[in-house]
Amino acid sequence: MDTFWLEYIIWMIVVILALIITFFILMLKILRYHNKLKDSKILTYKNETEHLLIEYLYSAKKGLNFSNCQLDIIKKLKNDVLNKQKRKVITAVFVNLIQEVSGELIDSMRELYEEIGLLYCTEKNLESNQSNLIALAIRDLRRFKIKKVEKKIDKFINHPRKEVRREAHLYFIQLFKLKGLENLKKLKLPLTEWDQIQLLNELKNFNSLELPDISNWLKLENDYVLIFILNVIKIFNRIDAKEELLDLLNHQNSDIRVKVIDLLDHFEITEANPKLKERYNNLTHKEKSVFFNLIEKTATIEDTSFLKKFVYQETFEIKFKALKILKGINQKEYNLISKESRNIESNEIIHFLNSSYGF
Amino acid sequence: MDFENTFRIVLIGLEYFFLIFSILIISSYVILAYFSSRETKTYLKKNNFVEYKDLLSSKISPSISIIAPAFNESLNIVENVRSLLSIHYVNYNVIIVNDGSKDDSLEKLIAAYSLIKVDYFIHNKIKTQPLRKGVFKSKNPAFDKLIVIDKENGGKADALNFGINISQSKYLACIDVDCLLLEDSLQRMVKPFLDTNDKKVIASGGVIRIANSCKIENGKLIEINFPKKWIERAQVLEYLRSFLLGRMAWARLNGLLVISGAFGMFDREIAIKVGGYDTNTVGEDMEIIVRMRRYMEETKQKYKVAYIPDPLCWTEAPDNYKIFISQRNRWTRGTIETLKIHKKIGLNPKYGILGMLSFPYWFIFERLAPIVEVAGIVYFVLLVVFREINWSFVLGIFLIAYLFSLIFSFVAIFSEELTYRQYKKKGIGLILVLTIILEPLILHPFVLYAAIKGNIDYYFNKNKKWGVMTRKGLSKK
Repeated sequence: MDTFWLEYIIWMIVVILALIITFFILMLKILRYHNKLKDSKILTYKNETEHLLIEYLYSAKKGLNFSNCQLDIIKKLKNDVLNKQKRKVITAVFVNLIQEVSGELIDSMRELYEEIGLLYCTEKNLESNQSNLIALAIRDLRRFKIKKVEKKIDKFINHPRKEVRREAHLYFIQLFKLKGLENLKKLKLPLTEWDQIQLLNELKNFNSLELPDISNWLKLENDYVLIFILNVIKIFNRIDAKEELLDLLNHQNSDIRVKVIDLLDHFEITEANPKLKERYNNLTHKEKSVFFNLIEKTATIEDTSFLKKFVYQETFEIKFKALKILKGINQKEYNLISKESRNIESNEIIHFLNSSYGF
Repeated sequence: MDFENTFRIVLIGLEYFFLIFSILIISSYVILAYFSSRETKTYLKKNNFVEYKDLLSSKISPSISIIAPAFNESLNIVENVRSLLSIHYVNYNVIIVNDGSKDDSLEKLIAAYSLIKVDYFIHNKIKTQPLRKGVFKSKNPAFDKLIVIDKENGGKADALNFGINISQSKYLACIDVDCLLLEDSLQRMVKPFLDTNDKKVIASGGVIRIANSCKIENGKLIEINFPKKWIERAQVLEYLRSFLLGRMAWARLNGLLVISGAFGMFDREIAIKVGGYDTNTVGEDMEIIVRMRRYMEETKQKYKVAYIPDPLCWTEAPDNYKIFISQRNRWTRGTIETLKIHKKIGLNPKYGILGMLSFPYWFIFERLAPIVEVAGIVYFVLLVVFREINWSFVLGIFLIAYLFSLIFSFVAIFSEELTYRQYKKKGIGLILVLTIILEPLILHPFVLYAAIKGNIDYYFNKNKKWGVMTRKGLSKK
């Protein structure tokens, strides 16, 4: 009797699984068919929308708010925006096209964006609980250069999700330039390297001279923003805050100190060299490495005794740099080391430096 | 009487063992499928509006070295390198390590890219086989990203280590030279490293897709086709299951133990700190990840191994059973070796998820599963021979196992259809269904055979190393 029930259960499971698989086969068929249909509908609708949009842009009549043709297009698009799928397509077409037009056409597109209700939908998404929808909404508002929602976006600059924060800061920098950049001062949370790349990309459109006094920025408490500003200084070659920069060599965050030494190297500033030599043993490996880059550019014969300390010790990288610099600034001392050296690694480096032009 | 009782108890014990093992493995698949779907959803939500192009012009984009070992790849090496040189990224170089090839790979590269020998001081941070003909760079500025190294043969791991020694970049993308990378693959793979502050991302891996039958021109993927041979089709399904269900879920749990050797990105500093690839194992791709993770756990640093579900890397899969078995045999030996080298991690709470979840999972469901399966088959055969079998019962159990395997394949296909939809052509739906139905019959027995052979070779044929992986070359399709 027991076996009967066990068998019964097993075969029941088999039947259920077989039914599930039959259902899956049908589902797969339907899904693939649906996807194909959706692709084709989207493509048709996309072409149609592009056509309508171009027609709209070129059917404006002077003296009139909207021409009859434009009114018809607005009416149609207004209806279509109510459909989620169509709304997505319209937004995508708008976003693509706005990057390809200029001048009055951008204003005209922005007007249409508002008129057909897309702006309303985008603003609605700012109230969503889903962070990806908020980020997308901010991105659209940025691309359409909608400045009037500034206050609504302001509350996202310290949003717990980084993608939302990133979009909010991009919005401010792209639309409000220097004033927008000031919002970074309010940032209490981290900036990732990815954020920095995106923000710096926006800043590329600035003129170096437009940038305000950098020195204030170097006193900020958010280390991430500080690193970002150090990147800005390098990219824009803004060396007007040298004193503040030198003060940062005492910063407790080693990443910031590394960035500062890297900047000193970039601008070939030698003021800090004695101080850095003095505290050399307390520097991190990265600091030592960038410091040697700085010495490489600025070394004089006076640096010989300092460099000699490292030709047998320290890591390979430092040894290599020390010997290379020494060869450049004091050939006599270098030749002496070449003869006396018993250190295998140093000898290999010397051999390489003597027999090649380096690479 | 006593013996009979003991024997009966042993048999019952065995049956319960097989039952519990099956329930555990099925449950683990269900759990992994759940985590995988959540991770994929999260990834797509977060990344569907990311502007990767900003990386292309940024002065602070981190440097990346693509390291591609090559051994007797003369047939396609020139085209493969061209494909690597056309990747869209601002700050990268391509290091081709000709690992003692006996063919004319180097000569072809020299001719195609106007290479000349250069002085290059190489600091052997990781010990490797020495240079053979030297280091080459191109005279043509158009190919200034290319570095070609010609060294004595030392195997794939040794060649990769040489590339690591020569690289000065922050990140390393280690790939198989015959793989086809999509143009934006570096931008996508590097993102997790740049977009994480709270943990150090030590490595990132991506989905590997099968390029057999795909149309490829000038190193670019032009048209995605579903393979023609059943063995290739079954592997497409297997890869989808493995990459879209398995690894995605482990990424969510931060428990990934392997990143495919075909395409993976590493933090160079950590890779050097752990000593690079292990040249004594055939599973160097898994071993380095385990070692890097172990290092991070032991030094108490917060870390992550990231995973990208986007189809970024396309590779050629074996198109015959002989090569397929040889490949899977090697994978099995690699897994055994890695688990043995790092056995200290297993069930050691000091290693967190790595020790308490990932490692035991791999040991039980990857290392032991084929052995348990074969033991089950042997036990079944013995039952058929020595005892009366309730065939209806047995058939029911077999069908349950078979149908469950089909369900997981369907889940993988749905996952693909709802996300990346790479196989859009008409008629492929039916082929997919047929592949799902046939795969347990046409591929799984060979997977099992290769795994057992791998175990035997590991214990009784220690000299066996990589085995032969003959490739026809993607661009010739």
